[in-house]
Amino acid sequence: MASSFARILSSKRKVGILSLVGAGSLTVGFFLNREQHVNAGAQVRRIYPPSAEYPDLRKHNNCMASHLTPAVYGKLCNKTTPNGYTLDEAIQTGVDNPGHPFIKTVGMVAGDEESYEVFADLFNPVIKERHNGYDPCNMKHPTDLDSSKIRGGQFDDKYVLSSRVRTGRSIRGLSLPPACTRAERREVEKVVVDALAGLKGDLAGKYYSLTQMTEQEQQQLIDDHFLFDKPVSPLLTCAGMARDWPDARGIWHNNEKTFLVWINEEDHTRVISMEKGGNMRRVFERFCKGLQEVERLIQEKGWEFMWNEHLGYILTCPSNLGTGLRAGVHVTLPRLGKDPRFPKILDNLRLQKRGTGGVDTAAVGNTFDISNLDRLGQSEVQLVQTVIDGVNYLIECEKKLERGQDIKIPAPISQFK
Amino acid sequence: MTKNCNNDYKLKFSLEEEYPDLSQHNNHMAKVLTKDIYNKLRSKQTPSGFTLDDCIQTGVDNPGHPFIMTVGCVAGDEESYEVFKELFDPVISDRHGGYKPTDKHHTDLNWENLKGGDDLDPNYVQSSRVRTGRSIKGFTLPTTNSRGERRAVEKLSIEALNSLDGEFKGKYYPLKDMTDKEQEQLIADHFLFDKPVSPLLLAAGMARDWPDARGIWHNDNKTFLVWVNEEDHLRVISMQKGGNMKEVFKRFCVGLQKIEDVFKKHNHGFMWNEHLGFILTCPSNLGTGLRGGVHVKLPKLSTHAKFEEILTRLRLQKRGTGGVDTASVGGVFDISNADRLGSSEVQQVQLVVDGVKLMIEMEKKLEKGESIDDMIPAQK
Repeated sequence: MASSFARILSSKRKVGILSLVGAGSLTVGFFLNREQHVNAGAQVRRIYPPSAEYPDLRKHNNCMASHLTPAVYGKLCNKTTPNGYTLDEAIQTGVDNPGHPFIKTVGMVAGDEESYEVFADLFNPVIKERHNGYDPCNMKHPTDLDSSKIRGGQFDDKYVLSSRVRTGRSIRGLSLPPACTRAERREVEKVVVDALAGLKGDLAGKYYSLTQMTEQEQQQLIDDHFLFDKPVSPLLTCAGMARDWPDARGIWHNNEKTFLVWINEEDHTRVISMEKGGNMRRVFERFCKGLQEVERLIQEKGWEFMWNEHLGYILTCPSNLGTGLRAGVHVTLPRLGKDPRFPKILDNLRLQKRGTGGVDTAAVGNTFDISNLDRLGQSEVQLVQTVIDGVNYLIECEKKLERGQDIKIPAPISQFK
Repeated sequence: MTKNCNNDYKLKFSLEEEYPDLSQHNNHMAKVLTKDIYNKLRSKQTPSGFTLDDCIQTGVDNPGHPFIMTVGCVAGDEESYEVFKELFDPVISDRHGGYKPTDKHHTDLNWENLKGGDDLDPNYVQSSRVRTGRSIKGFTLPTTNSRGERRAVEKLSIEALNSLDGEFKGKYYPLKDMTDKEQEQLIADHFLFDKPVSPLLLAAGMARDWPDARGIWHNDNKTFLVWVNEEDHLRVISMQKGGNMKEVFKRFCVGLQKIEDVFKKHNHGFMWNEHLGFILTCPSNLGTGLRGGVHVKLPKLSTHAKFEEILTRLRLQKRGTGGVDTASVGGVFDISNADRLGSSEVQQVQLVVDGVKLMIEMEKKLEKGESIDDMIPAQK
């Protein structure tokens, strides 16, 4: 099995290896030869001209539809990435899903790392819109997983019920979930599971493959709220992410149930650190340590994460580029939650609220899922600090309202630091 | 020949690495697709670039169906059935009662060859319907077609349908430009088809770009209906209330012939060959692609111990009144022919007519408290 992949990887190693060694950054990045990748795929042969193929986006409201002009379509529709991924495939999810009632969806995905390059004429404006003006052409994304820089981060357990940080990581050299073959998906599983088996101490744990899970294990994972199921959201199924389910999908978690990895769901990996209560600091410490350990372990075997200096960590959905990080708490805010100024306060603090079931759910009672809005253009440390500072402010507001005092809408904090 | 770069890339991985895990599966494809066959076919592609993995994705993603043994593979174009013969031939044989690769399929759309069928008891038979599908030669099928191709099929279809006159004169309603009022009327008439929700169809890529280039055409009398670009290029339906299956079948045959004539004029006749008959997206619909049936009240017979066996012997199948995958409501069943390939349209509709007639006689006997044991038919 290793031989197929060794051959492919060696053909991808290009000009040189640029090592980034800086405070807090342990990531090794490749310098990708852009020209080669843009031209690497064979042309798609079409019977119909681009004008006959251009999708009808008149009723659509997603980022892809906002930026896919006939000119851009005409320019990109005949290109493919080296693995054969096409523009039509990248945009299919956005064509099939005109809009979402609550949020403006992205409407396109990447099939592999090179997609962001080959289809840059569409991805770049989409990224800019989705990430509030971040321009991949001339801005650089900071990566910082040094948790020692965090100030504060221990919330009052009276308000904060649980704390959680999640991100995703992709294995360089293997196609992403919308496009991966069964062999590639199985290789992702193998590489990641091997690495996770090397974790020790409070990170030591076990892998549960979705195809081989016993009923008892399944029930336990459901009770722990760890089990993920076959995607039902049409945003994901239209992008091809549920193909071959449940082949090569699984869940790994440490024995203490505070560090969890999903394999081959919407991304190669989703990494989650969580615990009950308000110790966000510890959650983030474990998060950073776990990620760095896993990275070290895959590097020992010659693998690495997809990353570049403009887009940060490369993930399937452009909305998760950069840090791919969502740090949040479940917090009870009975008074503030009903205050009409609540949305504006959140907005200025660059936070978002979701229901306690995650994205697309409504809040139950007075408990909210509060997390960072931004992903790209700020580092992990910066975003987690934003959440910590912001949640502190929200709790202060709640306390003030408890005491009958008035609250203030804070000044908006700046986006790109 | 369209290059399928992704398939070329995939060939770098070994057979072991790519072969799907079918250990939990129960569909025709899974029963047939050995590693040997997968290995033999994985490097092939049709002229439009359709590959083996494209054919089988729906069967890999949908291990089984609670009520029926699904097919688990689809065609992307006319050539799929030839290029992937080693897969499709045994699947076709399993699905169509042992149909051999050397067998010839007989097409008979001469409605005059149907005997009787105009007198099914309307006290029992609520409605009669015949449907089939047609694929337009020279275009790829709904599983893989591009937007440009799908639109071209729609354009040709509209032209063909708008040329019809007499009892066939009608109007086309494109799904994406329908007014609310038109939509409500089509729903009230039970004509409107919606975006597929069945994972069998979704996994095969048939809902892509919905509702672009999809639409419904029906005649002014509301007895002849054509779906454009749903699961097949065309689905053609003749229907009316009551039990005059002969009239329904006549309209069906005449209408189909008229439509085909227009397509032929444009050098885009229907996909057909003498071995597989009419070529459709799903192998289960090869041959005639015909499902002729009635909604019939059989509250007593349907609870009789021998009901299933009677149906099997008559070469009929039952469904709920909502179509495939639904349950019966109030003792009313949808009874239709089980076969598609290896017998002609006339033969299949004849089985429905004769079989339903017999079952109504049985129902009447059971109403009177009499036994039907001496009426159980021999296997047809």
